[in-house]
Amino acid sequence: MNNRLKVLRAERNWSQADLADALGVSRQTVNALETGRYDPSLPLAFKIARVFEQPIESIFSE
Amino acid sequence: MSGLFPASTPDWARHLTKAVISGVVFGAVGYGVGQFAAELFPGFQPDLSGLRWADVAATVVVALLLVACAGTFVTSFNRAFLGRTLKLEGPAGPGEVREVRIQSAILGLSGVVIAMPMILSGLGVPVTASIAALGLLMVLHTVLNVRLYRSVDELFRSVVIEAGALTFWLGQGLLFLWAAAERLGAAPALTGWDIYVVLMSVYLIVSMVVTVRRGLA
Repeated sequence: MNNRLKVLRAERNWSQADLADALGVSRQTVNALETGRYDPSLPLAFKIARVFEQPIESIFSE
Repeated sequence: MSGLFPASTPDWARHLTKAVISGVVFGAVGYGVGQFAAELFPGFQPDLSGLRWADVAATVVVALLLVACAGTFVTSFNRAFLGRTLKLEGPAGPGEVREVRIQSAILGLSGVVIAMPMILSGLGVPVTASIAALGLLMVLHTVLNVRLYRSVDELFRSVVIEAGALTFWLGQGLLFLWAAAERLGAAPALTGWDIYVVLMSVYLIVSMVVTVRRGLA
């Protein structure tokens, strides 16, 4: 699965730590998500959508 | 060491190269230490006649766990290096250092737990005392594991679950093949210790692969 996390984070000038704090996960998890090594659980995907104020399908794609 | 590799080098190639270099360097150091110890204690001739293949494999697993324990513990004192190792932006924070140290303690304790049956047996410690000591170690090991599992997020938990599932799948496959061969009279019987050592070896290898695949190392 592909995602736009890195782009969205860069647009907001957030560090990995900022995003990790907002999502309640580790920086390693943010890194793994951004590099496509890990697909988030559904609850985490919803949380990501809320944090970026965008629908899930505009962040994640097949 | 990451500066040695071009940015396009895949992770598995970096890890394999580091493993080979570390193997050569630490193998040479180990040989040197062994030679030095042999000269220092010329009368020390341990009886290895009762040593079985499972004991040798268990010793290798213990050595790997103890080296990993020492490596992660030493790394935790250099936050910048730890940050690079964990692929973080910037140095590791206090929480990340604490987690790595708990992981290091679990690795070390795992090594001690696996080594203890061989050590206790070799020292001739009474069975009751040995079982009691192993039970206490297992309780401590379990408490540390549960504490770590509860403190980490879903990525680390998914790695633990994935490694466990793969180990079960591989382990039951291997065990079935051996058990079938044993039932057909084509293979010798295994002991509980043999099976445990094979299972732990598989788990160690699978854990390393899953950890690298998920970008945790």
